[in-house]
Amino acid sequence: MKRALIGLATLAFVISACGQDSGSDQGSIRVALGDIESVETLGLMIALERVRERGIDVTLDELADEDLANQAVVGGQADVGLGAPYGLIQGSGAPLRIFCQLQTLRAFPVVDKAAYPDWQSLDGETFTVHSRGSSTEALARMVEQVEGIDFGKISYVSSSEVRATALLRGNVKATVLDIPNKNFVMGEAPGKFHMLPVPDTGASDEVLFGNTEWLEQNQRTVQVLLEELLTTWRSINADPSFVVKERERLGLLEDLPPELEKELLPYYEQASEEGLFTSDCGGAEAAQADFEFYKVAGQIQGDPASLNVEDFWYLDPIAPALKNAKSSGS
Amino acid sequence: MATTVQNRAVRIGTHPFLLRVLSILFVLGLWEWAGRVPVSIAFPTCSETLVAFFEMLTDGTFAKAYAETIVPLLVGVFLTAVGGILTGIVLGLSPRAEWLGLPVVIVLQASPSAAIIPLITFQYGIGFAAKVFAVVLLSAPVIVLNSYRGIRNTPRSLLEMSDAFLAKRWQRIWKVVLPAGSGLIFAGLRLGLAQGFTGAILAELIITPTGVGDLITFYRSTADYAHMFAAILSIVVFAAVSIGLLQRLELRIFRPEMRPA
Repeated sequence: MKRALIGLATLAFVISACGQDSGSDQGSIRVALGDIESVETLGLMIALERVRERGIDVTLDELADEDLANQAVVGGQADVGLGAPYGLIQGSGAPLRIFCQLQTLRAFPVVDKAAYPDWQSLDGETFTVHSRGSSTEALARMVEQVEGIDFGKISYVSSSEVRATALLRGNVKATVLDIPNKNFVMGEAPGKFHMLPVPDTGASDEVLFGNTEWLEQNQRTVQVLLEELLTTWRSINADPSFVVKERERLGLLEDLPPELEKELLPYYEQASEEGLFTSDCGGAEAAQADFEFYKVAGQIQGDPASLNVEDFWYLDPIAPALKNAKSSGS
Repeated sequence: MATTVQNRAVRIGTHPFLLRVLSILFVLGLWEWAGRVPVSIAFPTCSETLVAFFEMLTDGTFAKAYAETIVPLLVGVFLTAVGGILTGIVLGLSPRAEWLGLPVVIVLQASPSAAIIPLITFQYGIGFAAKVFAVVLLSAPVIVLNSYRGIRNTPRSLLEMSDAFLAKRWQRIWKVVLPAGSGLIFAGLRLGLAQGFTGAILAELIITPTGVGDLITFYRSTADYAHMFAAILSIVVFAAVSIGLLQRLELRIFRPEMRPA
């Protein structure tokens, strides 16, 4: 009798265990960010905090660089990563897909005003970018095509901060910087440097991507994430001071030094003006622009026109998220 | 007859060269198996890596990269070899210098170098000088400390013998102390070269992506893991061959008495 009861209990346990859908939406998300919490990532942190408010358990892992964040997603230690993983998706064959464009590429060529008044004067000269195969190198190659010049040498210096310091110290004369470092250089040496015009590529600087299996099994979590990101981005575009108000409401970056706090609003005002934050996730159009751009960067192999968007993007969650996202998060 | 054949088989089976080859083949076999499992998407098989390695070797990729990496490495190791050995000798011979300088070297050896390398850029910028300094930073402690220990560990009996023969101070150093310490000094040089490699690659990965550091960064960013592993493998091979050559040079020119008969 006892044996029969144990047998029945075991059978019931096995049946109930089999009945559980291991792939169901867990209501949690692990995000790998190849950056630190800063003024530039505050917008993202606000969006993630708003996702938390809707009952999703969010874990944000900050890693030393974008490639490590990519590896975390590939290795399954994170569900979602941020970056521009076209090379990773094509090269590794990893089951990853992009599901939203977060930021478009906004890079500023800052050069010594006296030495290089225009792009033509940089013909045959050294131009410094982030690294080989990076978006900044692709931008330099595009400038060569558009302006009909050839840089004498493309040299590599990682990190916009280091390039800004090198520019101020005179180690480099012409380079590409992001918004905060462009402002820093212009503020430190007024009149010494100027910005040269760049072609508008429409390419992504940062996209959201995840493991396809996870994306399919966690559709509600993905929806909430996209809705809050789009709401945050749209709110910033409409009123950059949204970041300041939300930071205060959510208690984010409380230990931000006063000198960086001063940069907060101007950064988001400028980012909004430049159209940095994408308010519609980009979709197929962004994918096509990225194919063209990252082909030049050497990240993608093959003819951009013949590449299939679905081989890189998972477009399904975008339309419902666009429908449900609010135009203002206030 | 059977015993002779058996003995010969045992001799061949325990031959050092054969055992070394078997050891390497065993590791490569494990690598191939782990890559085929695969342990990770980012872990290529040994065969894929070797194909990429020979491709980069033959198309000039390695030659171009090492031409950039080797210059700061050689300059840094040369400066450290000369300065480090001299410093080690002075620390070993003078108690005052030992008290003054040894703690600094020990602290430097214990410090996490990867954390210090970014600080180099504040003083030396992002160019050649910064990379040379990174090589010096990593290789100097081991060269200085080994030279110091080599000098300090001169057998007492040899020192007493030099006293008995009324040797002058310079004769004692030149003919007794330095030869007695040469083993550790050369061991320090080999270790210093290995550490110098680490410094050069760290500088290329952390400061400016050039040479072999650029290959690793680029192939990692494009998810070409076979080529990335091949670049890392090339560093291991290059370092092992360089250290082996340094050891041969030491035995051939400086310490022929230590050569195996």
